[in-house]
Amino acid sequence: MATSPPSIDLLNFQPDQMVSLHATFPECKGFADFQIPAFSQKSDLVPQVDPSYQLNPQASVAILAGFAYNRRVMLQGMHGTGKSTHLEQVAARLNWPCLRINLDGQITRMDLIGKDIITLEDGKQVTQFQEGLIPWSLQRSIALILDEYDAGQADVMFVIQRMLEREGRLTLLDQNRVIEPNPAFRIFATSNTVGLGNWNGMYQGTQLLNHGQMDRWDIVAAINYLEPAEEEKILLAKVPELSPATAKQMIALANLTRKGFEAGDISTLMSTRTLITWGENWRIFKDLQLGFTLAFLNKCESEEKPLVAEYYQRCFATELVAIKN
Amino acid sequence: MQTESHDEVELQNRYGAIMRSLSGVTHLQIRDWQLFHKNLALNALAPHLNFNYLQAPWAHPRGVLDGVALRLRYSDYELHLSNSPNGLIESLIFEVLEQIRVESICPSGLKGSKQNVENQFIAWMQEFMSNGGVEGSIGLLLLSIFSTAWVKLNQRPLPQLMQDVVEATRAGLATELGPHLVKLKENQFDQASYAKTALEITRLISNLIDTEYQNVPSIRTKQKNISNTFLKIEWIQPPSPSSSSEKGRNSSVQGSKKYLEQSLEQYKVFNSAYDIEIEAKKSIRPAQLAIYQQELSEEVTKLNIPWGKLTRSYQHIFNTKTQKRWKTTQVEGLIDRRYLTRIATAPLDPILYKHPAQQMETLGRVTLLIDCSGSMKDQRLKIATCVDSLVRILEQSHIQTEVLGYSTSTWQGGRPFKEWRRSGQAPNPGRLNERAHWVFKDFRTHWRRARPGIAALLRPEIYAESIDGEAVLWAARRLQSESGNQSLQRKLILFSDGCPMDRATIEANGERYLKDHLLQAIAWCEQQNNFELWGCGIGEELRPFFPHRLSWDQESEDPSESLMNWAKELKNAKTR
Repeated sequence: MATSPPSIDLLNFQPDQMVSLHATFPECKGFADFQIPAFSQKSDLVPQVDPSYQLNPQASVAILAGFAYNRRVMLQGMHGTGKSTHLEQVAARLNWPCLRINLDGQITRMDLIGKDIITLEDGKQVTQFQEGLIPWSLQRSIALILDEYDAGQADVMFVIQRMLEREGRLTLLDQNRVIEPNPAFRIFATSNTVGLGNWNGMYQGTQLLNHGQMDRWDIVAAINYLEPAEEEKILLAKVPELSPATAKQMIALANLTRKGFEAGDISTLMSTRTLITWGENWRIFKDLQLGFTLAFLNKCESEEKPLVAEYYQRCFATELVAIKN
Repeated sequence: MQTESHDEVELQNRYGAIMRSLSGVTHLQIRDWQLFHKNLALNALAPHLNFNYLQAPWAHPRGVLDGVALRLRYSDYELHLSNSPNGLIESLIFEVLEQIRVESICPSGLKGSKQNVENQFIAWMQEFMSNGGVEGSIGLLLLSIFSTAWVKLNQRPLPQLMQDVVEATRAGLATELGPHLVKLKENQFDQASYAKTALEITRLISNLIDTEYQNVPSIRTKQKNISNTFLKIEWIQPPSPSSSSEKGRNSSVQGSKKYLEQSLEQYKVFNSAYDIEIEAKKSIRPAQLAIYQQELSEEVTKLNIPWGKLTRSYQHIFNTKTQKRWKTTQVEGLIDRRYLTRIATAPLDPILYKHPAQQMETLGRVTLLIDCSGSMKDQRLKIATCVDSLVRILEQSHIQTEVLGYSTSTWQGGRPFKEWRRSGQAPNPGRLNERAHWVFKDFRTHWRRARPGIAALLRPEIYAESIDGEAVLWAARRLQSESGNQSLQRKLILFSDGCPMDRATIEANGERYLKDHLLQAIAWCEQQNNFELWGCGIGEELRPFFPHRLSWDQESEDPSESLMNWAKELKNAKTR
């Protein structure tokens, strides 16, 4: 925040090179090439590049269009599809500083815009305006990621609405000040629903989005679970000791839980993250079933366990022993 | 009411769930051991996947489920149907060959499924042989074709005994069949090209069967051969492409809201002047009612129902919605100006902050609709105790309830029937009876005050004939019309044992008149938002039409077990 400046002054930090889509993101070769501004220098806020992360070409190209042409991009998908990570990984390859804000129900307007705080100045108490996250990042070269966009409170959402217009200026009423956005400021959002609220009971706490809000997002990219082959690559990269056959079975099981979740038969699903945890557990315990129980089965409701055991039998052709106890 | 055990309901739900996950088709459901996709029954399954085998001791239920799920996942139903030949045997061969294809391309990740379908296929062949299926020439021929194709596509050997049985036939066919089999294997992953080869095989076999008939010299041997060719396979031919597309259109028209409303409007009532809708307790002498109430109370006390435990489980069922409210008088948060004076009055402890809090709220409304037809009379005490306890539990979980019933005021059509006879017996007069709708408890009455009303269920005289369709619509509309939150979950639970039975109406309008109206009423209920219709104790004839069912055990004396089971069943039903 304003009181803890990063080592590089982000206020005057601008993209200093252009990279081509095809050269930097070989996954997106299927799309027309365009140039994307990038930074040659890394700053503190640039996320780490994860070499094993598999970018989804379609989502990547949407995000990159956001970076190149200053478009407002929203990523929509079920939980565990890696929406936020995806955004971070694209930013990491461009060395673009990133800031993630979780728009949970408790974030208030004051957190975002700023508030008066009491500080000591020359031994006297004075009130001082402290900028919130939004004015602070608006003035800097930052890609602002609004996580769980559909969980935000309605009054908070209208604060964001002003920024969604391109070159939209932000008026700070408390200070009689108008903030011009930094040319390298970008804004992204991730959400579980497409602004329709919790219509199927899957996502408690999500809100219906104002249509004017939805309209201001230029690009809405859907991101789904990875294709089994892609997921296998990640899993094997993270847990190289696994045999490809076992990895395939684990992924088939994850896909069964996803389908079951979609149909409303189970309330938990296995994300790529869970798969990796399962693999890592297996490395520790040398026992696939125990690893599975610890990584996923214990998260399930007791009524759902028999169904998960059936899933396990389908993929591994052995009975899940833990369920019988 | 008829028995449908809790385990059976649960098992069907679980089987349905595994099929939905494996196939990726979310609208699959197993109702009364039949497979339904969006209210349409799927019957044309390969013989080894017959759903009756799910309960057979020799079969592998997992194999049956996985086989059907793989079929739905890897085969295009429309394409299959458009290629399917017309003859009975031909369509059967074509179906089985397609099923063998999808089972053979089961991905390696689903190792268990692959094993399950293999086990089931081999078990079915063994069962078929041991039941004398291969004694007839056609049976042996089909089994040889299926097993040869299966071995070729799966690259797996058959059990020795089976090989011996089919060996001679297989060898005889080898020259003709060989090239086709190679093509089948090549096109394993391409349904359209595979279908072409499969069709060639069907033609080949059908020619073989025809020639076998022609070669028969005398009538006597012919007859013998006919009995030999009798096929011991249960096979329902899929609808032919033209009729199926018509049917598809019809069903989509039938499913439409407008069509449904139109057909509901076609239902007529000959004379509604004698219909009644009254509070049941008002038709009983107070002294008699007191006796009934005493009887019911004694019965309920005898049962030792675990009220607290049941209340908690029912509370969880109804979507406990999170609502944002301000929590006031907190020690931190935003200043609440209503409490500003506290700075002056209690400066040391200024609890004047508020912050938004989420609150759990139970939102639901339930109507219990009881069929008061003559056949229900014997079980009235058990039903009354169940209803009384359920109402008590639900109201303690803050769920509003209503208890309604339906029957007729008289038998044999009563006054409307006589009037119709007198007026010259015009055809299709519509419903001819004095309909009686009973209100045992309405939403506004608290359960404690409603107990005499519920005790009125014990009065034998109210049990007569039943007109179910009208009653379902009546109860559903009452449930909906009660003002309230749109997102309120509404459940209508129908306790009934079978089809509508009103002899006078059925005689005058035909067997299906009342039943069709009930089915339309059920379909209408399914189209309503935030509305679920549940059936309890429904007879076998109508069971498949209820997407949601509660178990009922006629023998069991202990309603608390039923109540516990219902909680589980209600909880497990997710929106589909």
